[in-house]
Amino acid sequence: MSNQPGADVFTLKSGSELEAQLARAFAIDPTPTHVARIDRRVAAALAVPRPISRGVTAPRKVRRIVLLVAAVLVAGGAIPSLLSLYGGVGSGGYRVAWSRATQLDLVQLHDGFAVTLQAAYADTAQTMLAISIVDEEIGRSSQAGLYGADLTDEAGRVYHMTTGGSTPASSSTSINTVWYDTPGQGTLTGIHHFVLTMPEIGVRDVSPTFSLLPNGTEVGDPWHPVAGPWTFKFDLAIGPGTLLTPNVGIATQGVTTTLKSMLVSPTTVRLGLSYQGLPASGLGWSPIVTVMHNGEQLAVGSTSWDGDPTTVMGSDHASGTWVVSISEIVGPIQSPNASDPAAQLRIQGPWVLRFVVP
Amino acid sequence: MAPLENLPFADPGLEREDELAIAARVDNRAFETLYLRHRTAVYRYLAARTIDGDDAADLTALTFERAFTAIATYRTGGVGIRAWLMRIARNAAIDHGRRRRGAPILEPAVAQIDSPEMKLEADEASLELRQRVAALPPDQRDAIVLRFAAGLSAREIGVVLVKSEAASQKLVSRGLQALKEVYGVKPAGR
Repeated sequence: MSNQPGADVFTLKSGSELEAQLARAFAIDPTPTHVARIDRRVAAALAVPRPISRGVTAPRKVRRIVLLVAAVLVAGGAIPSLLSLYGGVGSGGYRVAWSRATQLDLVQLHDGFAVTLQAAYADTAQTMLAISIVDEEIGRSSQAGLYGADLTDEAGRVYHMTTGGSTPASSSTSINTVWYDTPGQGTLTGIHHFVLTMPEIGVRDVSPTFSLLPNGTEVGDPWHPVAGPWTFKFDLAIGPGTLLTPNVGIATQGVTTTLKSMLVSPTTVRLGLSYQGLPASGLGWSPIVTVMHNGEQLAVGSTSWDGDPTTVMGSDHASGTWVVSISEIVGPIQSPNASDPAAQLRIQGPWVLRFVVP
Repeated sequence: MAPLENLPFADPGLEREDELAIAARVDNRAFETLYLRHRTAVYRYLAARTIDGDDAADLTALTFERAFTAIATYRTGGVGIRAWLMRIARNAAIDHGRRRRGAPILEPAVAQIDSPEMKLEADEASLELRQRVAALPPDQRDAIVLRFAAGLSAREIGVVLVKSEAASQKLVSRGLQALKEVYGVKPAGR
């Protein structure tokens, strides 16, 4: 590019005109086709159950809001059967959990909000609860959602919530699924007595008001908490799984990756990986990993509460050939407010771990 | 939730974004809000760094997929989620550039002329200006694109480029000065 004004150069009279032209020049909006393409991929990512990282726990006061994921299934009117709606809100391991869940139908009414523990499922890796919330007072709210659901068992073991989803089923009704890590590292099975406590729920105002800041940011929160608690006590059988200890490792690029354990349950496979030789220690390292079981890929979609990669599907049987391939180990993304924000650390693999379970 | 004006944050908008980011750790809807709010800015930034709209769309999706996976690592109280997203986007663009076997990280904007949807969007002056920006030294080019395509402040650009706010501002200024020289823009007051 010539640094001299030339005949082909458009005229810009001032610096502000140049800046305005720059803003116009880069105002390249995605086409509707591209928007749809991006939306599809992001929606797919959001549809996969995901973790709450133990390393960066949300402040205690932060409500674990589990709200809208999918589109409204039934717009207003009577709800034919909330239970029947749960079958369509997930895939993979969720389908397995739902098909094997125990129907409970335990209802509690508090301040006109009926919360129903519809069904529950548990295996050695994961526990899932299906919870419906209905505002019995017509016209009071435009949506009701889950703000948190604490689960413990008779021994005081805490089941850490890992993810959840909520789908509005009408203007003031939602169906919610909540997932927990089953404690015990794959050893806990049999019938247990559970206590589920929901200290509060979230309710959306009928006519929320927002104000706009000069920068276009919306200010206002249409959601407000409604205090409970809603408490449920129930018995549930924790189904079996298989805890493997392959302890196979391989070194690449000076980093040794070892698969110490693998918990195989009907709804997920949880990988217990460890690394030696990483250039920086601490939490936040995550592998880009694929899992193959007898030639079938089990997509890795999230992590456990401990940060272990977990697949979105599981297997009833652990026998056969397993191939765990790690293409890359990605370091923690430094926060923008870090005093010395480093670039994202990435160690290239591959590390391919194969083993056979008789 | 307490009214925003009662909270000790200088920028209520930023506080709201941080709240969303915290909620997004467990709440898909909060992440969806962040996504909808920043999708266009991320796309614009990536469109300025890639050959065509398809690449920009794919990298935008990748950026938000990575952000969704890493949202728990976002720390509040800093420069904000937009700069954090642009860092992810920039890393994605750099990876993409590497995969293209040595292709420049920021493709000359003239290549975008081949893209029909961008052709519709652009007028001649814009195309020429993008070409001029693409020919700037890499640091200045990056800073200009982050400023005018992504709408970042100097402080936010610093976070993305791992430079101080002053250094980022200097890069933007130098880039603008180079463009002014090309266009024969006289300094103000003369």
